[in-house]
Amino acid sequence: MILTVTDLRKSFGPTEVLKGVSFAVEPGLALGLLGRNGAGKTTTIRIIMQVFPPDSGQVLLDGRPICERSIRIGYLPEEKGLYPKQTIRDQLVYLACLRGLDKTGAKKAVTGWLERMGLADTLDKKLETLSKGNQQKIQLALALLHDPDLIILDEPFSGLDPVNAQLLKTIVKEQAGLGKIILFSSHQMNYVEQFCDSVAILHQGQIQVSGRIGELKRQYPRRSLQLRFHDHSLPADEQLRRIWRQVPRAADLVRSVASAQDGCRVELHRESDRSVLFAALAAAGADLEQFLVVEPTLEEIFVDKAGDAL
Amino acid sequence: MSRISRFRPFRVVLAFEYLSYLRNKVYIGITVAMIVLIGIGLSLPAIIAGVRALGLADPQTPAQPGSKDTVHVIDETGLMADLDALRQQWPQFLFAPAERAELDHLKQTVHEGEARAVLVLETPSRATLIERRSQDSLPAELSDWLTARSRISQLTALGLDEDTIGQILAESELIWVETVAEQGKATQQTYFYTYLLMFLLYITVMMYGQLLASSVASEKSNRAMEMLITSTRPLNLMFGKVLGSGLAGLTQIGLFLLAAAGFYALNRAHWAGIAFIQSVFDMPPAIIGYTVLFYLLGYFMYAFLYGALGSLASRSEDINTSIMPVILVIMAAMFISIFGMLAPEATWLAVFSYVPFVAPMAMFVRICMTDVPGWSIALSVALMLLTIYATGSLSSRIYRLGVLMYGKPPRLADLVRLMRQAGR
Repeated sequence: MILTVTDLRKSFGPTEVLKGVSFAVEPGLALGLLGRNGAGKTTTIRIIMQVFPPDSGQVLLDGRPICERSIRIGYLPEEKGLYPKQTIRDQLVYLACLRGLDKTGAKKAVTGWLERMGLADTLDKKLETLSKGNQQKIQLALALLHDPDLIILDEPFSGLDPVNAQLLKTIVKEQAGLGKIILFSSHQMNYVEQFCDSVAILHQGQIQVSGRIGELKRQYPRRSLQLRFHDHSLPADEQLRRIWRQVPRAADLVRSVASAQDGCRVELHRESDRSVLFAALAAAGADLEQFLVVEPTLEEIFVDKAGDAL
Repeated sequence: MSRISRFRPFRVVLAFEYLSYLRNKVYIGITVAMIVLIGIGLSLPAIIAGVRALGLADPQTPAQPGSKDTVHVIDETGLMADLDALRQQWPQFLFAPAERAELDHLKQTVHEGEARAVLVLETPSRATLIERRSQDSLPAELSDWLTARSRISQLTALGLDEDTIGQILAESELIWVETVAEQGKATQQTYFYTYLLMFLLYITVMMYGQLLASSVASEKSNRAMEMLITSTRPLNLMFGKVLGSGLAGLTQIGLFLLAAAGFYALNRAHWAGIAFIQSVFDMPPAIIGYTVLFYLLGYFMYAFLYGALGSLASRSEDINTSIMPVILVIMAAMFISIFGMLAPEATWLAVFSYVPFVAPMAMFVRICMTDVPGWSIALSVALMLLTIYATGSLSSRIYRLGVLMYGKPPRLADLVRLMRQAGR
């Protein structure tokens, strides 16, 4: 089963929110849908969830419109909330029944998932009595208790401590292992790198870049260097400045220098300047211990693709 | 998707909403409190009788009248040779003879609350009762009693014996009223049960409508709506909620009516002789049926609007602003119907009984107080059903858009524009 989003367009009044969004999510592989606030992530998700239709474009599941398929969707929204005055059991059973489970099945699933989350003793408590993190876990259980085929997690880490984030990671990996389609949306790039196999960066209603994270990083220009000198008596960036005075041409290749642990981080203007800089440093007799080409982080790619107003 | 599974989410929402009411402490509290109040109210004569039986109060020994209960009598007619007849008739007062010369002083004592009243018998056909303020039925009772006594006195002066006088006075009541209207609608006493039931309709429609709007708005404000609209279609949510709240209201009305009927049955003997209470409980059984029918029609007509307007409010605090137009319409309908009760046969009330948002109350008043032809009721109900269909489909479109809107409630023009877009 593969989820394909094809050329989605959607306007609200005069505002064109989606301008032809396309991406695909394969089963067992989590896709991170990334974008700044207002990029169109929630609109895309709501169209996939059939909350409203697109103006044009399609959401296909194995080549057929998703609305024609009886597919179970598990959704953890960014704006999380349930009924604060109702017991956990009542509201989870209610929502599970709305998602197609019968009452017996819903009760069983609720008990099972809450035990898994370590919250079995909260079943008959009111939601408002739980901490924010535990409420978040309840929402996650709700997204999964009807055994969905497609799981959409919108900012799942807000309010989770590292231990619970690890639990979430285990559960997501487990679901991916079961061949579920997982769509992930978050601003926390470190988590996205850990959880997702591929990403689609959405900016101003258009996909700027998409693909496997590893491939994106490999394709992305490597302009960052990690430098370290044998002489630790002087800060690395100070040693570099001395070299610039000897070889002013080398300084022109560099966009910025920042001190990093045991050395400094150098950003070049162009990827091709790497060898030129190395030659210039060697010519200047720099006593280099490390000249490391640093792989770009997802955050750097994201800022580069979606950070035009920064 | 099969037809059965299409309706399942609607049934799930309906059951959840209905059970939420039944488990709600406020709902249970109000229901129990009202039933207790109805029970106490209808058992009051029995309770008083019980207290008397226990000897805690002795009705046979009324409190002795004090000086403040004095009624000064200035008799210029000789009608009251002595005041014993007055004393026997009204033992709660002290009747004391007085002279006209004292009148100003006596008025002053009445004004200061030192005496109850001054009765001046000026001629056999004219008497004046001077009171501080009108406070009970004494003037009317005195008037009847003195009129009868004056007539007897005058007829006695003409030489007639007491039996003949009694016969003449009895035969003077020439007109007996006989009515041919439908049973239970013959007298002005329909007014009481009409008023009670109409007020019950007004309160329940308004209360459950507002609860519905608050429920929708709170689901938006606590963001449960995000989970709901991604779990089922908005239409299932809205119709399930409307019907669930309506059933909760109907349950409450049913319990109140059952409690009233039960407590009245237990205390029927104590209420014998109190006409308006009897009129309420002797109302034609069909009226109960009409109460349920018009509650349902009125509730659904307004509830869809309440639900739609509730969906436009992002916070519970915004609810009152959003639903104000509906409240004004309900209040207008109630005032029209209350005025209609004063003239239930009026043409204007008949016209209003076909005007959709007024009809549930106006037609109910007409049915309770007059004989309305069957075709007229059927036409009114048909028009209301059409209106419910129209408000239901309009409200569901507003609801679909409203539940996803946050921030300031939209202006009417924005709403119309969005609905046109949604309808495309």
